Amino acid sequence: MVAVSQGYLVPGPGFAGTVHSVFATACNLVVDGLLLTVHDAAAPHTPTSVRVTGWRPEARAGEPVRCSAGILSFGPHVLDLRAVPVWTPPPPPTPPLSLSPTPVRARSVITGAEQVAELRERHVLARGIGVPGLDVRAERLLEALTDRPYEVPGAVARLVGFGPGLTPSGDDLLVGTLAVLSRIGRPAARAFHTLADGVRVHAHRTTDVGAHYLRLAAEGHFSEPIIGLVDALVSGAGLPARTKAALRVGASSGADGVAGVLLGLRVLGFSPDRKAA
Amino acid sequence: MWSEHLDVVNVGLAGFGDDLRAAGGSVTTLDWRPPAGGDPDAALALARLVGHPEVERANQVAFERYLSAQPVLTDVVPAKEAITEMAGERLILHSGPPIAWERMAGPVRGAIAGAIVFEGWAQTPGQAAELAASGAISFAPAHHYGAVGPMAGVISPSMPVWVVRDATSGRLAYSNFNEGLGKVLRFGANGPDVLDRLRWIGGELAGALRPAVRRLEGLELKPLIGQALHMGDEVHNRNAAATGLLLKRLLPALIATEPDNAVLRRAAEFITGNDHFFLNVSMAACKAMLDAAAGVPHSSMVTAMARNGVNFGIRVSGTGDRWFQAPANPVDGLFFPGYSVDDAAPDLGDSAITETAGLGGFAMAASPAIVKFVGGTPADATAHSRRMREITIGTNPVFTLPALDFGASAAGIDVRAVADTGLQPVINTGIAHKEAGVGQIGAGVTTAPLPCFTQAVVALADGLGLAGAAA
Amino acid sequence: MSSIREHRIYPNRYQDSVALMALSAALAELPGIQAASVVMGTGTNLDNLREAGLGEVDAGPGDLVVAVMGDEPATVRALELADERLSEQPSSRGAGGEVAAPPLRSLRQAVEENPAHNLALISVPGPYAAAEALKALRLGLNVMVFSDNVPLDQEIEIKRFAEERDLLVMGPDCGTAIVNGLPLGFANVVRRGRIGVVGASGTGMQEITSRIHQLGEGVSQALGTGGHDLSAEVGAISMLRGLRALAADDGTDVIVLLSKPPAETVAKAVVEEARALDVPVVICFLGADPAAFGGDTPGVRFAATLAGAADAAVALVRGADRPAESPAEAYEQVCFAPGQRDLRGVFSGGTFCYEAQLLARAEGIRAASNTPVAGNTMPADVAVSTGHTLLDLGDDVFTRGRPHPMIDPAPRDERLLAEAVDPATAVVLFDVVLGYGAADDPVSGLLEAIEQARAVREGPAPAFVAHVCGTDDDPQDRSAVVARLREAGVLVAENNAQAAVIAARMTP
Repeated sequence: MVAVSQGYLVPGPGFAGTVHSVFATACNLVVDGLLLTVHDAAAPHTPTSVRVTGWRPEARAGEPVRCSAGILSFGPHVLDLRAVPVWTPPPPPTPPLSLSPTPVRARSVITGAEQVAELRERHVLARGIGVPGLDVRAERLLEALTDRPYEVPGAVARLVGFGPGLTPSGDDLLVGTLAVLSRIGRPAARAFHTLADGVRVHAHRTTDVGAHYLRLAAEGHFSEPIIGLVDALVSGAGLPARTKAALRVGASSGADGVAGVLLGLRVLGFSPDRKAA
Repeated sequence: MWSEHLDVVNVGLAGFGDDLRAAGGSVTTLDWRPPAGGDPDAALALARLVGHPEVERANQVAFERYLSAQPVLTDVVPAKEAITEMAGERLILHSGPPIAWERMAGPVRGAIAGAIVFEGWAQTPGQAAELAASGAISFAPAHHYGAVGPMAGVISPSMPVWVVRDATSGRLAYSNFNEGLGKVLRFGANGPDVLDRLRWIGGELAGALRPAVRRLEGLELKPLIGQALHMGDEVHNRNAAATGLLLKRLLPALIATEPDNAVLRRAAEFITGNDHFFLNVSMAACKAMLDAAAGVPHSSMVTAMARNGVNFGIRVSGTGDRWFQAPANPVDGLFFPGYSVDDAAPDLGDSAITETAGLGGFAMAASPAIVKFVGGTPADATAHSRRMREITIGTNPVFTLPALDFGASAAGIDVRAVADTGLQPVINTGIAHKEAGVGQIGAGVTTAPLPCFTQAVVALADGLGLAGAAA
Repeated sequence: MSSIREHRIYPNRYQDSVALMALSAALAELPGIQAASVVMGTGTNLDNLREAGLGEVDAGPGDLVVAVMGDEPATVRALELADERLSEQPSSRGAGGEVAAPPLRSLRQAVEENPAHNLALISVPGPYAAAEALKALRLGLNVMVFSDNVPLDQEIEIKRFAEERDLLVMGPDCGTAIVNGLPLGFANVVRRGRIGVVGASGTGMQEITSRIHQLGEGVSQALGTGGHDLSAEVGAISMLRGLRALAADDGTDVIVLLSKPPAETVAKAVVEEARALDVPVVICFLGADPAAFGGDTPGVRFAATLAGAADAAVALVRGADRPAESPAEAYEQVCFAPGQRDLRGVFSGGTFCYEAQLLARAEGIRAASNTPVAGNTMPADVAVSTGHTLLDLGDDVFTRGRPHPMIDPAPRDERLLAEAVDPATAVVLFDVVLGYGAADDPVSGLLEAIEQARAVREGPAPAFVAHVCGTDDDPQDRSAVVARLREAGVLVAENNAQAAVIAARMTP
């Protein structure tokens, strides 16, 4: 088992913690309030992940985690992190979407969003992973973000921790929305901060893993596939591949995150009705 | 070396090994991990012991003594006759390293209370517990008197013990009688039925077996164990075949002593009804083989592994009577319906003496049935047995494993190898309920905790003047 | 039959969402069940259970909740089924079959498996390195210790023990070696030849061996001693041993010794030993005055720079007394804006930073550095440069447990960008180190940083001066790297010394 890369928020050479949870190809470790994920290199980067090849997790929840001088050990596993390249997210795409994009630019983003929505629809139907009630809650958030900012905390509360799974669907959706609002820059700054504040207040209401990713998102930290998708929507390059990569995350997390990205675009006015107008 | 072909062991960054291979070199990259549990001082002490001529020599002597021991079942006697220190004393032996009454685990306390009532020193288990707490009873590890017992391992003066003699050295080893499953003293039960059974074992059963065993004039146990390994036992958690083999030898002798028919029937029923009957005999045999290897100065061979329900302890040939202790590791096992890990007592008992002697978890390849306890496959079992060879001085040619092409079982654990590789000895074990008297609630596999071995390494280095900052 | 509600809570149990959805569906399909839900016990989900009529459940967000509603025997059955499905062991263990041999964990295991092993390359963290080295020596292996931060008393212990056993120890803190033609650690692909090198500096050895190759000669052995070998405490145990070993080697005709300034008594002992040999020796003690050691004699030549040492050795092996003068790289003086006056160096090779500081000092440039030579100073803030600044980005203050910039060049490229956009910067000096161990593509990030700097900066961009340490046979191919840099307008010098002198002279 060899570590091949680590996220930019994985702490320095020495720390201690405990094993939080163990899955077929991933382990979560709690370290200084952060949740580090050691997972197979087949899965993409997150800010707090360590990607490894050739392993089957054999640690158990509650076992101690130790990292000294760059050697990370937990359960029977030992990883050498000293010479492992660090993944850092690319800078936001240039030029950014401005407050009033040219009609051509706006149309291209909307067309892209439609393409993404269609791919997501197919993905969800094929796997039967639709979560009833999620869309109603999402619409509520959209209305709050566009018209009634004082209702944002309430709308967030109805999403945080909603749905089954390790990272409940509502959490994944919120992360997707935050990703769009954070990477698109100035025009979305106010919406991002309103939403991030709401998320910070309610993050404790979900699972540990869900709360971890929500808190990261509220600080502007996102995983590789979601960043790739948002940037592809802005630049128009490689959109189908980036969409599929984003959908592949987790069991249903990918689809929920993509739903969040589409919601974020609508918050910014990139919706089909506008294209028609 | 300039003319030699370079053959490199790469310890650390894997990339260097890949580069060397790309450049045409021969290279083996280790799956390295910080040795000695990550303690740099202990790691250095360990390094100074690797290949140390004194230690290597001592290990040869100790291992040779272990191999040449000939455990023979010779007698059945009350404990106070075998262990003269117990005669007329209120001394009770228990499993594992030394421990005070106040710190003992629930099942051990229950068993001791039962033994006190059994001896007639108190009327009820409650009074017995008070008596034990008052300091009026002495406690000591069975290991300190050449004895071993499974689980609580409680031996009181009137209980009968098996006597196993090492024909090579003349040394004696003892173990108590196996009471069967369910509510039994070794799991801390001490109700009237438990005590009644103990009285019957000490009276009628021991009385019947004593002349029968003596009639056998020394039953050689190593060949019997070797045979059981070929019949699906690993002689720790599975003793079905060995119990049958023992009975095969015992029954004709028993009949030849012409016992009362009712006695014979009850004895035969009891023995045939308990697949673990041989376990205690196996443990005494292992104890005899390992005591033969004890006390060789500077030897790093483990001579005992035992648990008292709180700590796991090991003893090492070159460090005399010292125990090196650490909290016991959790058991990876299956629980009987209705019980979970929350109900389990920490790992308990002297029965890891079987692993110390190369049986049990070390011989798991012999017993695919046992692997089911941990949801594993026969391949996992052979992997366990193979892996143990990495931490032993050698193998025992008398204990061969069919699944390993009749290769010999790993034996003679070297504390240096355990500390160096981090491979912890595998132990097959039963799981006791944490409350006294409930009994066995599961079975599984655990490991001997690493800190015991690193402590032993430091002590050995100290004995050679090699511990400390610079040597 | 009246319907009842039942639930069960599994603390700290995690399953993926698809598994939970599938289980919810399976439970709902059981006859007699009206509703079923399997969710994590977050507040929102508990509210939902209540709304769905599945009752009040008291659980935390880390708990898995199974809630069912239906007639009594059905709810019992449903909870049993859920329990069974949630307790299933992952079936990843594979059924039967042969298990692959487990990887070897210890040196003892490796030597037992293959007694032909004769060298251990050790790159574990410093606190454990001496122990691994000692084990290797006790098992009869020669040793190279790449690891740094090994306590000095432990370094002395392993070196003395190796002497007793007549074994070779390179390091601790030995980055580079070439033994019997094989690269160990960070090393370049150089042809085999008749020049032996013993050095206390890894990148310094890479520069010398690469240049020997570039000049058409080859290397017999390159033995690293580690950065602390020539301290008064260690007393050059490894360098003296290496020197004698190469002198006795039939394949070596000329020996090069290399170190940053050694402790004086130690240096004298080394020079004395060198003078006593039949083999000619070139000595490069960076920053030391040869006169202090008696200067050149027929058997011992002193060189002031790494490149100079390689040149002298090549001349000697070819039977010439002195190296031919190598032509200086031509450069055009650039026009700088007023206020553009600083030289900024961002190095990945520590010895390159050191040598550049020495040569810049000789050109009258006093610089700040995190590894200052005599006469230079530490910067007030290593994160922000002011004035002439030459930085070693492989130093602990920059790496902090992260990979060395030779492995992961991104942090160095970022710093280069920061220096290049500073309006005070006139010249940016940097190195590119190739070879085994180094990054597969050390250039693309650099070129991006240079391009970005030129795009962002208003007014004239700084001049970029570089040198590339390596050979055309390295996996990264030196001439390809040089061509890419030149195409991007970087002035690429022949060697580090030349780059440093050019950069210093260009600086206004």
